Amino acid sequence: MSLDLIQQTLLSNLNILWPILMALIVGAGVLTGVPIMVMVERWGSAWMQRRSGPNRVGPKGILQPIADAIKFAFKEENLPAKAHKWLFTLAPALAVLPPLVAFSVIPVAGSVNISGVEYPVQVADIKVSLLFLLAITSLHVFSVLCAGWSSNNKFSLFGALRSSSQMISYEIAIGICIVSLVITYGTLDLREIVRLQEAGSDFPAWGLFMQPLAFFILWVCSFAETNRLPFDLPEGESELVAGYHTEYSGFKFALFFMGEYAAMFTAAAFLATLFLGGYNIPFVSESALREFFLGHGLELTAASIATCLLQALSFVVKVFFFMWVFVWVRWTLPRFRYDQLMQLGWKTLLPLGILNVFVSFLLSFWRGL
Amino acid sequence: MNLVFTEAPGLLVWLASFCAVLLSLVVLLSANPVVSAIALMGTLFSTAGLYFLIGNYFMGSIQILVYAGAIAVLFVFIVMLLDLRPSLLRFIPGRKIYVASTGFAGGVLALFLLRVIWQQTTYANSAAINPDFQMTAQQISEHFVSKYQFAFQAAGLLIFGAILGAIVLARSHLKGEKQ
Repeated sequence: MSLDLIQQTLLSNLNILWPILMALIVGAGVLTGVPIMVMVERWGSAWMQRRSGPNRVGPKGILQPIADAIKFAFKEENLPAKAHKWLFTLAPALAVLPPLVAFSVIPVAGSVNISGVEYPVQVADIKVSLLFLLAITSLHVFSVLCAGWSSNNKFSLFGALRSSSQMISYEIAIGICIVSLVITYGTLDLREIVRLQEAGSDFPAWGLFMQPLAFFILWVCSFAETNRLPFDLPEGESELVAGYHTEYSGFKFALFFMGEYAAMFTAAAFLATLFLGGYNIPFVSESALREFFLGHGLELTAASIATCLLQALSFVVKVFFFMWVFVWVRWTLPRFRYDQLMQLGWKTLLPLGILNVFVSFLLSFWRGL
Repeated sequence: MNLVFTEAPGLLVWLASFCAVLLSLVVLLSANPVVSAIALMGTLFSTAGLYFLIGNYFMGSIQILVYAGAIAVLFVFIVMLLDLRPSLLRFIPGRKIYVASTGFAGGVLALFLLRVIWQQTTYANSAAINPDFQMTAQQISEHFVSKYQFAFQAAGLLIFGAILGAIVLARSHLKGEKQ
């Protein structure tokens, strides 16, 4: 097969190959972000608590994640005597999969123009991406339940029950907030939502300013959904050893670890997309950027790629802002009691969310009059 | 080379259907209720995959959100807490009648389903996979109150009957304990 034919085949099938390419890029991006985030977490915590943190492996301890990975890979796999073998093996895989799949509908940057066709920088550009994201993240509970039940350990089961009831409770508040957002934006398409937040040279029309209360509630809920402090009761060390993954060791434990960080990335990207304008760069619109690059002698394809790279950078900065707050809160606040957690979810956040839906409904009705 | 790309979605349809059928068999045949409940989640998820593959993202998302994400979680939750050991389930009185009647009803249903699939299937020429086709919530609810109103109401009645049955079963259990 000649080179020409290969190129022609690739170009004519780009509508199928493009999502695969995007999946590789986005998946690799998230999985590379995990070790970086682990380092940020360890350095950040050390900085806040006036400790040194990891500083032995490589210059300034920068090779620590690689050492961790090697250690995970070579540790002994432990299978408890009365564990359910299949579910015990399935649970870690289910922990990593939903956050990664959920990331596929998040728009990472604008679109790339290849021979006249605009390809969105996103794995799957579907019309109901907000709904899809909610649906996929709700599957995260299964890994926790499977892990807790199949370990045949009381601590694991308690951790799993706590975690799943917490996740289900806070999912309701999230759903209510999404309703008010849909009333404001009028669409379930995340790419469309990001486009609506683009204000050009004006003051950024971010969701943060349109729905401040929904932003606050969703932000609090994202801590509970990812089982992070101050809501990390499923892993409360003083009560439950390590919660639902007490019995896991070696690479299976590493998968849970990666799953937690991937879920944090998805939550951060979700918040950035809905409230901080997604990939938008404040005061600069996508078309203005593209014009700028075209004016400096780049071709259309190259100009759109350059625009997308800048936008992706802006998106990554926003995501890492939220990731840093995750770390910041974890090493600042103590853990809630379980009844406090449930009270906050059901008696504070849910009524506030419902109130917010009413207010946004009235406001949108008023505007429509 | 081109053939690979044009046929790939069709192969995925086969994969999703295979998973759905296999996992639903696991739901029925597994002796462990927890495994059944998890396999039920897998079945619902594969069905959602079929919806995605014919381009109906709304139905697929709703399928995962409502059934796999909420109802199947409740199943797993309850089954895990009930401590249902397989040995206990094997000795239900009148088990043979239950199995026979369920098998008969399931067979009749499967026959009708096969007939409908045989008649309606447009998948054979792979034109059914249409990425531009996206059903909205509005269209679905319009179908509910017009063309499929009878089926919609009948399903509601069926669920109502099931709820009543569950209450009756629970009450009789309570009475037995009092005596």
